[in-house]
Amino acid sequence: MVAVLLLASPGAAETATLPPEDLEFFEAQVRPLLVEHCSGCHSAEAGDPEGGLSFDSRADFLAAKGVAVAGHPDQSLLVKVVRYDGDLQMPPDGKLPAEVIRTFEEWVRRGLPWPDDGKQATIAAFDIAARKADHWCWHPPQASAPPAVQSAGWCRGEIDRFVLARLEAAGLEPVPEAPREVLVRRASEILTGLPPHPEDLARVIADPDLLAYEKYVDQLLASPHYGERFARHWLDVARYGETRGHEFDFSIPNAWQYRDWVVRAFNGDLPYDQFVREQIAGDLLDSPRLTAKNANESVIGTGFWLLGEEVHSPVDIRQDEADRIDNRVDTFGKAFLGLALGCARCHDHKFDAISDEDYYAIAGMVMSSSYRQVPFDTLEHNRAVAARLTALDGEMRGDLRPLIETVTGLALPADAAGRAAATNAGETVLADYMRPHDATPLIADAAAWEQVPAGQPSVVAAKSETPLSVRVEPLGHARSDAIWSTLATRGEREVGGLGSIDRAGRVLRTPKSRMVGGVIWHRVRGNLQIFAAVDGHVVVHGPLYGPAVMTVDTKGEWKWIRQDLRRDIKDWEAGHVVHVEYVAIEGQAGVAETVASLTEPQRVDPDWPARVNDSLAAADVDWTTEAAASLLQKASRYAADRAAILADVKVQSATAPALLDGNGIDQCVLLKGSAARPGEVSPRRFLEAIDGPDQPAWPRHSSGRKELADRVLDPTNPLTARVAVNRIWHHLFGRGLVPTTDNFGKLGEAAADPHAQALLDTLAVRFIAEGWSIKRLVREIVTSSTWRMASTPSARAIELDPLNRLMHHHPLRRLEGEAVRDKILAVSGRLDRTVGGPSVEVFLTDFHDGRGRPKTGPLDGAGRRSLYTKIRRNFLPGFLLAFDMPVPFQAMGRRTVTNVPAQALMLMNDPFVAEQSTLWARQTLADSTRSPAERIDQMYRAAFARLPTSDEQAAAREFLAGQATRHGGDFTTDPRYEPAWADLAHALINTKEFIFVP
Amino acid sequence: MKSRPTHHCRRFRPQPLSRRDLLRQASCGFGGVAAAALLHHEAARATSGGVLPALHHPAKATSVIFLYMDGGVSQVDSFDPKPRLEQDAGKDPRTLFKVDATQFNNVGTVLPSPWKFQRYGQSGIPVSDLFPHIGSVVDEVAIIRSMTSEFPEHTNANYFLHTGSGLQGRPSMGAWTTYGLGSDNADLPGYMVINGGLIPPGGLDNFTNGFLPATYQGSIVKPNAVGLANVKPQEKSATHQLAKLDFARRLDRGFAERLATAGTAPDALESAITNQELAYRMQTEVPNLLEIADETAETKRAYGLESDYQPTQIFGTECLLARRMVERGVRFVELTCPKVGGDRWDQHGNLRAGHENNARAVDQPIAALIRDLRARGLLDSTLVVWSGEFGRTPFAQGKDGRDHNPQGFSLWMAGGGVKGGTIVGATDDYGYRVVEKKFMIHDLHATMLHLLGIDHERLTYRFSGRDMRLTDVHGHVIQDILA
Repeated sequence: MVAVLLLASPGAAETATLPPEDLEFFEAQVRPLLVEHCSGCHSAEAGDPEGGLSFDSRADFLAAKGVAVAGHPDQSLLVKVVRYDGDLQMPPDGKLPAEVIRTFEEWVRRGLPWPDDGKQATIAAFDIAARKADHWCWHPPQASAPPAVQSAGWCRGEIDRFVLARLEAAGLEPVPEAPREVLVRRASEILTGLPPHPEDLARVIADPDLLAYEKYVDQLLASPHYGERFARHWLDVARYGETRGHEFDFSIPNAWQYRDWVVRAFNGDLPYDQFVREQIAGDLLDSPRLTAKNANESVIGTGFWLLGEEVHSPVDIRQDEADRIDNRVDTFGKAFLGLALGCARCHDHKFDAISDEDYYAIAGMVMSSSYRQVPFDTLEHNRAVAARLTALDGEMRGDLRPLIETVTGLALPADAAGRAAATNAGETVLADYMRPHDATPLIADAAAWEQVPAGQPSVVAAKSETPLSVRVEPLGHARSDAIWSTLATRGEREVGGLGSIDRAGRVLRTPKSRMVGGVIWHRVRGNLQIFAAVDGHVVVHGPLYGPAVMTVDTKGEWKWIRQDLRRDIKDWEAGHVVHVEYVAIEGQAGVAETVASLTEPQRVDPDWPARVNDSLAAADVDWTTEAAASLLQKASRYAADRAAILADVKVQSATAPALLDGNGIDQCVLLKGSAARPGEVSPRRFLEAIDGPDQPAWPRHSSGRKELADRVLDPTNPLTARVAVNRIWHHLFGRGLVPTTDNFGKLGEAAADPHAQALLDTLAVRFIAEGWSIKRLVREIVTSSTWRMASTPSARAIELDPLNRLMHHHPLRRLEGEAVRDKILAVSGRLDRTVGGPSVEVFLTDFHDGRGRPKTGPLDGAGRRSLYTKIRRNFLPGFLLAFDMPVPFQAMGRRTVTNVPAQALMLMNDPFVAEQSTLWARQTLADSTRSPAERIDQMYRAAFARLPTSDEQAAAREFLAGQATRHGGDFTTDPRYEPAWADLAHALINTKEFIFVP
Repeated sequence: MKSRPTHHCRRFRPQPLSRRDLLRQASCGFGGVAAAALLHHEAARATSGGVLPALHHPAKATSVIFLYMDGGVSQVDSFDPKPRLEQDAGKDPRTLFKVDATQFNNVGTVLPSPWKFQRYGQSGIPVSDLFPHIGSVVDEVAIIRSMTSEFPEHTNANYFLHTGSGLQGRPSMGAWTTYGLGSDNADLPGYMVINGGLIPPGGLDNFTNGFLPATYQGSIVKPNAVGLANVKPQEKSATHQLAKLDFARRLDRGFAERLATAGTAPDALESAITNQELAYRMQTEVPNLLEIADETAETKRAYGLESDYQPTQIFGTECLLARRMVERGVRFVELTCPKVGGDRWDQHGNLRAGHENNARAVDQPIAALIRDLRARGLLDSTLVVWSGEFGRTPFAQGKDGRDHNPQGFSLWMAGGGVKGGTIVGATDDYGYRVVEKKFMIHDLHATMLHLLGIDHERLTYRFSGRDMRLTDVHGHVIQDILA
């Protein structure tokens, strides 16, 4: 629905009003050109019209969008492409003669006259309402009463009634419940990704309590390994990576903090709505979640947006931003709404009720926010300290100003405006911190910056040789007190120039503005790092964009600092969206103004502060008067109070990638998704198909992500709860009720039948009503009769429903790569069950090569769960990749499950597996009192959660004896002969039963 | 070895072994099956399936060898001579034509080629003195002088060349090809990458399966090394391993029986068991493939294995391995460049020495490969593609280098279905920008798939709410090079 439009004036569209000379011009000159040069590809009659544009009829031409602006040749894509002006050039096989191009220009100038031939458009116009009406996912879910069933005794709950009704309708019955030992293994491996502890296994099997299984499920849900398991599922959706990929695979500093946040969220059963809200807008909550240590937990969730690929030195910096934002919008849409929003980037969605305006409305919110490292653990504390400081500075201002006036005999103007002169022609003020109540909001990543007016008294405390002195600030400005320059972070820093200092907690950010010209002037005082983020580009490291980062030291004076961005960034005529970040490197620093201008801004500053300061500094001030004495006494007290407050600042912080909110920017629709072809502005708002065309205006002072979260989580939103419930179902059964977990649109796969749809909807409605609790939902599903079915279908069921769509048995599933590897560590005894913390470097073989190759990590990943292996985009863990770990670049809620020889090779020959087999053997042999049969039992319990049959016992002993002989040992005389036991361990890992969960 | 499986072999997906087959095979034990496979290699060779039930049209080629010229070869120094550069040498190019943004933003003066061009063969196609050997087989080659890319930086351009998208994580052309066609030899991966020493910027994701199933990911092979990851058994001897796998198989049989319905175990389980056998065979098949001792001295010499320049030996080995892979039915082979000291083809400075060293490494082996394929009757069914990710600027970067140029560059193809001795398209007088028959990377991909019997618009995979294609929504077959 690009509104850049065709035949903007209604008159032009009506044949009746078409002047005869225009009609003739079209028929005689334009139509032949269209036929000769365009219709070869752009014809619906001749087949698939390229780009959805057809010149067959007036109606078809009108149905395409963004092609021409009636009356304005220079703004029309049609004219640009025939001029070969830009990357899209038509016709592709050669430029048309100049006179032909002039004819096209004339046609557009005349308002695109084209008589109505009465034909209907063969290309259907985009109609949100019709598409919405036509597809189930837009209709709000309704809870249904569970259907009537014949074998009601089988049903433990609502889920079972829906499932059984489907089976009975098909003339099938559910298979019997799996044996308890199978259930224990299944529950443990599916809920925690680890095999059951042998003691738990024995206890639950022996437990006479009818609810023994339920108790075990509760135990598993309370285990921290549950959160680790479900966190990994979510990380697939969040396209979680810890590096930025591209050429050198630079780090996303401290990305693991987000991973641990997800683990904590699942373990603490954070209500799903809050889980979503914090990822979309955890930085904007009125009351963020605080930990016992007063760390801000909510803000870490926003790392979600920042986990994608990022590029250093992109030549086309605008297109790079468009691509980066696209990844974020697309991931957002799939993760929370199950919608392929990314499909609406280049054009209205081909099948779903999503327009390109919808896409760019969301893109604007993403664009309005910026990246930062948030010092989440000290954020709240230091904000409170800063608030006390600001209050004290206000008090000081009120208290000391009258005394200064008395002592100096000079007036301090009440509205302490700092700027006297008007701005120059041709300059754009990006930020103005001079007037406290002016329009520029103070955006800071934490608490370091405070706004002070001109005339703000400042006190330098007495030192041994110098007495206490009082001065007033000559300019209003944003000020960072010296203490903030000492803030330090634990963990990783940025790469490149930005990373030369710890930035977290110290950043002042200007609003984002579109600027032209390419030169920025900064009026600053002190020693600062200045970073101009152009089109949101932050990975400043490489041949281009060095000038975006600069360090200055003005030696205590206010100075205009020039930053010329034109060397590497071109096309300043059209402008770029820029914001500036300031960080004090050392001591106190101030920022008064940020101005885009080719020449130095000229300002006439008020002269009174200088006169006041001269007077205060003059030798002849009589400091013995009552007023002077009072000034000195109070100033001394304020100096002491300030020092006391500042002593409370917490200097050391952990940090995490997070969003920093700013002013709201509305993004343009980009034609064909190309940053070089901006169309009309699409104001920020939520999807039209859900919230209608008339929505309240989105805030100007904020990105609007908070409002976005509200709309995503509104009970009337038909998608969010369904998508969430379906994901959980998918993880527990290996297949969602809607199989395409990330796409509920037309190209997704709908629920298999009305009962399945009703079940999903009923669960979704109840999910909201019962407080969005994931654990509660998981518990309900895994304790159902449905989930407890055995994995051996009846012959009849296989014949009728070979793909088990109706769920007549529990599906046999291969463990994911992470779970396979974790299980190997668990049985070998090597598993380190520590939860959370920095990642372990990935183990690299000679086959892992490329730029940015890090030092290899340990072969066994330090014994930690696979969740904690560092996800370096360009050096993904080979073991996990072979077992279908998704390549992290887009939301992937449903992994592919392949069955390839590489998996077998991995288990047969990988040194990791060999090493762990030996460890497992050692652990098995540790207790010298056991018999070989007991040891074999022990290994079977660990690997398969069952005891071997007598045949299997015999086979194992026979194998041990044979291997011992082959190794040159003798099993009869040495039943603890380790090489044989290591071979048994290795063989068990290579069985299918080890990696397939029944 | 000359006989190649005919096209229909790959049109059928292998049936999972039936329960009866499984038990019959199992009855003689894992070693039995494996040994039989080794003894009767050809008989046991299975094809691994692609998704296409039938080719879209008859294929001209059944395999691809992609010679990846990492870093970007200069077109005006290789296959696109530009006398005008002599004439305007030393001038500021911005006074002559519009210069686009470059990655290093360090625009020098117009720089003529340091190499002379000679005409070769019946076609009389000019080739620079960097590539006399390739010149000697130029009648087999179709040169496209009007190729363009969308990205002037390596990583995006590498992803674009390999996957049709400048972004990371999309399936590589080798993955798409094997996804469509499967492999003619299930004992080897269908898509193999021979790493001569340099992994291009963007890393292993240039060879990824992306969203396609993991079956289709590129397998990295090193010349003169272990070969492939995890094909080397850890056990002391084959007997140790066989006994172990035999035992595991016995347990699997029990597991399959417990889960069987009416005598049939779940498909996933059966094919996992089958895969273990394939994996076992790969342990032998891969070393056999990499063992070149059985090649004649003459062949080795022709490929440059006796060269006194080590990078030539390395790339020669790569080319020889590529031929052996194609012979064995590997669908898609990609070769990456060896290290020559300095840099790969990315000469931002020191153009003369850098390009000379890189050319010296690859020129003789490539010509030998083409001759050898021809002599063995394999060239007609093998598509050979030679390309970098972009070309280089006709003006200098600094004093004696060239920056990246995606506006116009040359690549060539030879072999199955390609009209040899052809030149297609043209750049401007400076070799900077395409002026005639502009082609995109998508067109290259469309053409490669076309020659393999695939309509690029009909090889799709539903992901992310769309039917994804290697060529996205673009691509036209380059008709001018078709034989």
